[in-house]
Amino acid sequence: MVKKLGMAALAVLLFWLVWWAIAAFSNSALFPTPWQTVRALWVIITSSSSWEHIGISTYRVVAGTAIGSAVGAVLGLSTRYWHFMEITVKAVIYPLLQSVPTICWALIFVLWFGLSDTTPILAVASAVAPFFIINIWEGLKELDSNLTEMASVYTSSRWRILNKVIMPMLYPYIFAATRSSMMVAWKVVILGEIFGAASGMGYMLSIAFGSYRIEQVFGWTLAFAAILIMFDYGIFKYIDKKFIRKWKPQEV
Amino acid sequence: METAGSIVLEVNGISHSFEDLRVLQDISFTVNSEEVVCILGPSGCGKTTLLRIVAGLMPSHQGNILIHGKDNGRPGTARQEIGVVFQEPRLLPWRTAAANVALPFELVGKKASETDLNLVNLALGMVNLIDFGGSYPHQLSGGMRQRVSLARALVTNPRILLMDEPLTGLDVVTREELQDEIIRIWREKQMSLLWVTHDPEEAVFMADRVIVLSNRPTTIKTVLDINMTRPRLRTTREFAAVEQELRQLLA
Ligand SMILES: Nc1ncnc2c1ncn2[C@@H]1O[C@H](COP(=O)(O)OP(=O)(O)O)[C@@H](O)[C@H]1O
Ligand SMILES: [Mg+2]
Repeated sequence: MVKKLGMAALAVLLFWLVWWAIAAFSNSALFPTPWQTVRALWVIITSSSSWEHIGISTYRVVAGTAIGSAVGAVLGLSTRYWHFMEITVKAVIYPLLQSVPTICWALIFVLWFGLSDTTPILAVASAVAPFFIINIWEGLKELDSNLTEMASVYTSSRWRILNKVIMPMLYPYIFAATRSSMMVAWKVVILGEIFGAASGMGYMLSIAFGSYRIEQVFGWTLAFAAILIMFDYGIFKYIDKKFIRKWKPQEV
Repeated sequence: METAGSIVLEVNGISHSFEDLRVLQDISFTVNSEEVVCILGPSGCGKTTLLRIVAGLMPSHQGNILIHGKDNGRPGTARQEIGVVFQEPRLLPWRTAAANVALPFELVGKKASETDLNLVNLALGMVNLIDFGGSYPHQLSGGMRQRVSLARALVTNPRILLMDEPLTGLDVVTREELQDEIIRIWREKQMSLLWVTHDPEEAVFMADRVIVLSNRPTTIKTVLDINMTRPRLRTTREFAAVEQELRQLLA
């Protein structure tokens, strides 16, 4: 453990050194040094308006993921219950969501909704939905039909069997989908905000870019990376360790 | 309450095929109240299929099932009347033993009441797991898991238990221990048992009546009444003689 931490610290140090060396060597206004970047980051995190933008982006990530997960989960599950939906989702909806580049969705949503919350939120939702569809399918494939058969001894209600037996079996898959979605959602939200919103981290990034404040572009990028890492390593690793691993069915 | 000897389960002319595979052919029998009936048949002859049809878990191509005179063609129709114990415990791994036993109440669609909790504890007590209500399935041995599964089947107080080789996966000691206990529970609850097995010894120990099945396409070969007094001893000559008779019928 200590050794691992030491190695990680060494790797980070090396990263900073290489960055510094390149910046010093190029000696260009277009390549700020680590120190300049950290200073820009400091300006960002000490200004309350930046936190507003970070908050707005976070809200859009969460809202977009919530909508995308709900839609994706319902679509994924519907294939189990209705033959028509199975055909429609498998042959049309999933391939469409999967193959259309997110940037195309973002462009379409800008045309429809203008510069607003709706554009980045829907862009996130459409990028995230296929993750949920595919993970639900994965979960349904592994579904233990012995357990659903046992449950149907006591009820003919598909809803209760879904609720009490099937959904809990799918939780690990839904968690995995949420985790990978969050990473994608953050990247999409920045993209969506760059040209589809008048607020948020992506918007700030585009302003810094438009005014050639390159150290601010670097600063926001660093802030973005920090938030992403915090989400994945902090929140999701914790949830995984604390709940999901226990949840995963040991063979019974 | 029905009186002893009245008919609980009526199986009428059940036939079933999977595609070209003819599995069951015109199977008819009845199970009376407070009676233990064993279905004894070779592996692959269709015992599980028959039990699933009886439980209303799948429709048969021909024939019908009556439980207390009511048709049990669809799943859930007779959920108050029957309990099922499968070959595997089929416990939900994310639930404790007690929560697994409470599952039938939740599936019926009511919030667990205090009476239900008492019934859960009663059922766990009946299978000698009163101290293990808080344990998860993976913390229990195979025999204990099957006990939890038995408690779950008992908790709704069914009139007939359908058992599909429930002890097959267990070691001999655990198996005989559970046979003893299930007979004790059966007497306490005054219910009927329809017990599927491929093991003649188990049939002699458990059954009032043994229905011997043939190979596929499966028909009833014979029905043998076993009038030995209980508790039965596996070591007596009478026991060995009946077991031998069943082995010959099965071969
Ligand atoms: N769902 C099914 N589809 C096709 N064949 C099946 C199915 N269930 C069982 N069978 C076949 O029917 C026969 C009887 O199976 P089963 O009832 O499980 O036998 P037993 O419980 O007596 O061992 C077997 O040959 C089995 O392969
Ligand atoms: Mg079987």
